[in-house]
Amino acid sequence: MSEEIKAVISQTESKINDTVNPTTVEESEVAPTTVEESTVVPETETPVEAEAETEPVVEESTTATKTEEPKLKVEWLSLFLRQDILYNIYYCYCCYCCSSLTMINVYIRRSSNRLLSLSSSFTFTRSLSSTTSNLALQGSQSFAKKNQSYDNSKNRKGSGNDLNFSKSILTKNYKKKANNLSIIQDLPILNNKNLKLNSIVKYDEEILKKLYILGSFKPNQFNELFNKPITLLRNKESHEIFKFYENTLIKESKFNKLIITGEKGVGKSTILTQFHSHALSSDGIILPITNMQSLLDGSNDFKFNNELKTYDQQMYSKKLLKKIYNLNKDLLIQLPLLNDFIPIYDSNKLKLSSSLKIGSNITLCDLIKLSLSKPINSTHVLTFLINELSKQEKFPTYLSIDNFNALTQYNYTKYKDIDDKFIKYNKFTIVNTLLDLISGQISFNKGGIILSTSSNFKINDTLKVGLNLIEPNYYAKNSEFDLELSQLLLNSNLENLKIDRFSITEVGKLVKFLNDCDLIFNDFNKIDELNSVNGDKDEYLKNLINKKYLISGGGNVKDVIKSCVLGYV
Amino acid sequence: MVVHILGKAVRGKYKINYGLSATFYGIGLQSATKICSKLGFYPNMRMHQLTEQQTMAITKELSEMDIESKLLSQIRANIQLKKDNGSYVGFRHALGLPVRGQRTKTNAKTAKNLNKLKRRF
Repeated sequence: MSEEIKAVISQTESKINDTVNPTTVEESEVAPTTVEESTVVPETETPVEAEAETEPVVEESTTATKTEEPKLKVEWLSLFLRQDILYNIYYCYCCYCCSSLTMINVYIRRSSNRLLSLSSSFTFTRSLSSTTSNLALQGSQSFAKKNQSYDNSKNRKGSGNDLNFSKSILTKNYKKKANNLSIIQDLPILNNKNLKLNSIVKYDEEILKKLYILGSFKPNQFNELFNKPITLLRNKESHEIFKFYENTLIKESKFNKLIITGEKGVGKSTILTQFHSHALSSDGIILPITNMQSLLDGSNDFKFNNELKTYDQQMYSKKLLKKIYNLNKDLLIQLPLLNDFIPIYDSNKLKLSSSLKIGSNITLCDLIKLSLSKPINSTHVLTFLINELSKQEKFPTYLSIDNFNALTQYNYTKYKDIDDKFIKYNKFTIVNTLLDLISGQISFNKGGIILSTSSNFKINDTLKVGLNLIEPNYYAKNSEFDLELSQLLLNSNLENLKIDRFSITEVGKLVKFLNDCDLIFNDFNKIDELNSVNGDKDEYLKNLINKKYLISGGGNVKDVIKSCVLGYV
Repeated sequence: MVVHILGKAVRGKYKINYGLSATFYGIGLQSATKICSKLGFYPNMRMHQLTEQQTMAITKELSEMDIESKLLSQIRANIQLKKDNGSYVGFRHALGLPVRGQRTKTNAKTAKNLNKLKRRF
């Protein structure tokens, strides 16, 4: 068979020679561009190599025109044989004068050895030197030659560049661009001794630093509108939270338990932040759980503890210990260790080296430092620390949990055990310890437990029964009602602080402040409305307040601020 | 960062169950999650967080399962058995036509593409 093919090829070669040899003039007539372009390509072995040398374009153009005779070279590229139907022979014809490629397809029928079709069409294609593919090739080659060092000036991607606006607020520091520093500086400071109710206040500088560590300011609270966070002390709610705080200075934590509930955007987390401010101002130690969900959503590691028969969450407890240390280190350094600390399930060598003994000026600060520096069970350290804090009487201690209803919304966490079954929340050491504090099994000598719900998680019957708002439905689905947890909450006598919507006077305070800060962007009919009240600004503001109160559905804070700030509302 | 498991590269940023199910033929999300649960990986754990021991543990689990070429050869053997029996299913496989009663006047592209003498996957 190979002889047949060779015969065909020799025929085609002779044909090619006949057609190509009388060439250059004809070629230029047929395709004038090819001649011009052919001059660009230097005389190299292959077209690809010719492309590589791109620089001497102008020089080569003179030399290439002097080429006397085009040389022919036939190269075999590939030979595909198919048994039944056809032989397809592809070979490449390279003509140096124009440096073009010609593909000749020859089809032979096997049975008759007869040439069926000989399509030796000379398509003098344009040289690669000026096509877009060539430019792309050049580009890629120039990229390859480039110095590969990373230029920071061209690609400045800071943290949060990949996030949307609401998530990037935490990292972008938009508050520096706000132009209301002078107005905020004139505001009174939130003070325990002189609580200025129904007025907008700012936080103390020292406390503000701690509040940032604590994570009190959430991304959807519009704090970026102001240079520094502000808050409105509300007549009822702020007063009640202050009363609760005063009780915590006297009574044990098992008698001071409060849960903040309310609809979405009504200011639950803000009231919690006000409580944090009160607590921090009077040397209170805060154990902050800023998001209960993070204990349950499978975002942290877990390991079974054979001694306690529960799961430890090392990553989470280490993060929490770090937060507690940064927040309360000036107080923890004053609290001596009351019991010997011996870490569990480590090697004996580590046990001895990392154990802490009482009476040698060792404080709770050293305990946390130890857990942060050495590879010991940090969940054990956290539970030990809580037990230690429950025994000391020097400082009031608070447990603050935001998004508490993340716990009550489902019975099970997203973690799975070895048998691929979801694990219940009460199999986790940290959650168990928190529930012990809530139920009163562990109690601080001074202090309190303050919980806050979130509208991002559903509030089901578990919480309502726990707060004694409804009777339990024993036939409810397992996913909708958890009897065990509701009984625990019911027995722990949580006080429910329901946050109401703003009254019209509170909305007035807020809108007036936003107007002073020049933050009401979307009042497009301002000139008309001012004209309608003959330029009386007080009257205009009164109308504006009424309007915003109506738009916000009767005083929802988030909707009030949205209606003032966002352009599309 | 790329993690190599059984000679296959898995992207480090993938969650473990997603990475395993995307990489290996014969492992879906469910069986990958089962492996993760058995080995005690937490749900949001990423590939690049695996230690060498954990990677070896995954390798051990995977080597005990019928995946990749082993599973493919099993399927091919099953088809071959049907062909050898002379069953209708085997006949349709050999013809490159749909096996389960689908129409052939139009469509049937998947069957025509895949049901060859040597079944493609």
